[in-house]
Amino acid sequence: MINLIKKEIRELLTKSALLFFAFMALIFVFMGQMLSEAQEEAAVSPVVAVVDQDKSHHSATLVEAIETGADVVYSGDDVSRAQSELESENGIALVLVPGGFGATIDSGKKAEIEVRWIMKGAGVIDTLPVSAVEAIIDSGFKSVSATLVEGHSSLDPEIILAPASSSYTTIYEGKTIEGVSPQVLSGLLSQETMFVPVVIMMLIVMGSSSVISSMGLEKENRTLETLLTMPVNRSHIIISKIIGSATAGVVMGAIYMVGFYFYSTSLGGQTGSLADLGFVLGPGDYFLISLSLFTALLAALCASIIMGTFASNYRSAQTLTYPLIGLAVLAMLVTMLLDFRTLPAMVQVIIFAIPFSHPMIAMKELMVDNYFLVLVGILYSSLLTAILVAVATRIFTTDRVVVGISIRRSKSRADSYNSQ
Amino acid sequence: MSALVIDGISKHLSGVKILDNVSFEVQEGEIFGLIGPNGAGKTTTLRTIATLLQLESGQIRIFDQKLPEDAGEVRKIISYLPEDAGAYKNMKGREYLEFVASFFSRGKEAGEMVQRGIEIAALGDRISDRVDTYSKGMMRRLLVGRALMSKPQLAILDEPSSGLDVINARQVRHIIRQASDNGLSVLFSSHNMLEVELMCQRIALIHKGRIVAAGSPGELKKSYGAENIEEVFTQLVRI
Repeated sequence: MINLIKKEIRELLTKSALLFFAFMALIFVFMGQMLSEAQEEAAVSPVVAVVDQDKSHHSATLVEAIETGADVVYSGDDVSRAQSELESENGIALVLVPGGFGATIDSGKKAEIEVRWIMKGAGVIDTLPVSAVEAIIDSGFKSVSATLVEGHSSLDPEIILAPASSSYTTIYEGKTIEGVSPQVLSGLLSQETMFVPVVIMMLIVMGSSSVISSMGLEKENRTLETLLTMPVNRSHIIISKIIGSATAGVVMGAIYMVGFYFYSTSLGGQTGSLADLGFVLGPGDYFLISLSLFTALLAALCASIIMGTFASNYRSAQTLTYPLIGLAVLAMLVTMLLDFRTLPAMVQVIIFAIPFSHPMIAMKELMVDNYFLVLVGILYSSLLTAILVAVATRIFTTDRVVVGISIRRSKSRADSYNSQ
Repeated sequence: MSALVIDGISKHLSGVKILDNVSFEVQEGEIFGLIGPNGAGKTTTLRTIATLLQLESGQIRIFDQKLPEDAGEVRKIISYLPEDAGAYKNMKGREYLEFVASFFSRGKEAGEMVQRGIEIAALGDRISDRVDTYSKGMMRRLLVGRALMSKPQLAILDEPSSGLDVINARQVRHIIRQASDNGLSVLFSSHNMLEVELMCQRIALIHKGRIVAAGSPGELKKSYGAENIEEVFTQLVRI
């Protein structure tokens, strides 16, 4: 019994499997560090500008509270100066206290301030400073409440407890969206686009796995050897494998996509909300997303063929899919949780180099009419595919495609034979 | 005319010398056996001739074609059957033959080729069954049918009867002999020296990547005063 368990463990816990899981663990460490750094940054005073057009006792109390909690780069009554100061200092919110703010409260009504957000990214981490600003404004409202209580006001207790509210305007990628905070917008964008990285990850994993497994099976059954001795161009064998797997991958991806579409629409019909805010994808955008996906898939399949040449049988082929799965998971997690444009430069380079990340990023980018990154991504994936096809064709003319990693086996067999 | 001329080929894999100055010649229409134990270099020799492995040094000529320059043309006139080969398991026997025939010709000619493959394999109605339901013997017959249906000029067969029972091994040998009677040149490898003695007009004995003797089984037995090729090989290896 123990011998059997030992055998099973030895077969499953191979060096390559352990390396893969170590890699996956490193991805989570990396993601955790990024989140913790972002939280630390969010804990630092957020940069804001304050415009007080009221100049009342209540507005002064509110501004004072904001100045205590935030890094205020402008405090005055000029909106355009506040806006330019905020942009030059890389700030995130302009708090505008309109005229009549204090009078509205004193008359027993709830007043309103306006917050104009400058949204830098749509990732979860990007919206963390927004919470900090909201908390500071809330503390300002509480200070106003405190002054009302101190003055033994005869006002409605509900007004005393919540004397004002905020109306939001968010500026994201040059678009001004009224009545929405960055958190809500980020949530809507994530909800709308979150299924794309998942589907693409599944597509890459299934497509790559089928190519590598097919190579492993061909080697195990010696059908590849037979095929390579027939009058057929080797590049045709490679291209056929890629097209076949891409077709199978697209069919599988389409099935997943349908499932996820129904899943996302059943969450509350958020599609309409985003469209109402001006984030609409046209037929051209869908074409670019499809193109981005297709080129990324081709690059993944070409890489899989190259990996597959190292396989000596079906089992070793399964192990060879691990690096590609790891990269696909990394690209998925990063694009789901973070915004590519707000990532550190080094991380941007790493994520850009993974071709699977481009279709994952594409949908969000096209929603804000940012075509450059999508087009560059398509170009990159196409070039990478061409290079990988050339490399694969070259490998198919060498001994590796036949002997694979079983060279070692041949060597040891020869060694053992020679030593007899 | 020589069907195959191997002249001084050597081959390293992963830094290990697998073939060392191997030379032999196969005449047109003859069955030539390459004999040696496991790991002697038989498969590497056959793979190099079949254009699967790159030629490192020496020369290979198949009829009028030279390797590696004419690899594309060589693939049109040879047929290679790897040891322990299989077929695509999701295909039926007939579909597999049709798939292979499509690389050689189209239309009526391809249909005739498939018919020839079906006759050689002699699987009866089972030719319409999926390949993954075949026994090892049936699979081997299908693959021999595949290898010979295109009427190659040179068939390179790696251990064609290895692992088969007596009946299936006899059938496979019979098919090969019949094809040779019809003018096919055959180079086949085996570690079964008695089988080779039955089948081949001429043989070469390979040991540690070197050809240690070559000739007809009768000549070799006479030269070494042996009763069979196994004894010849044993004597040669002891030297």
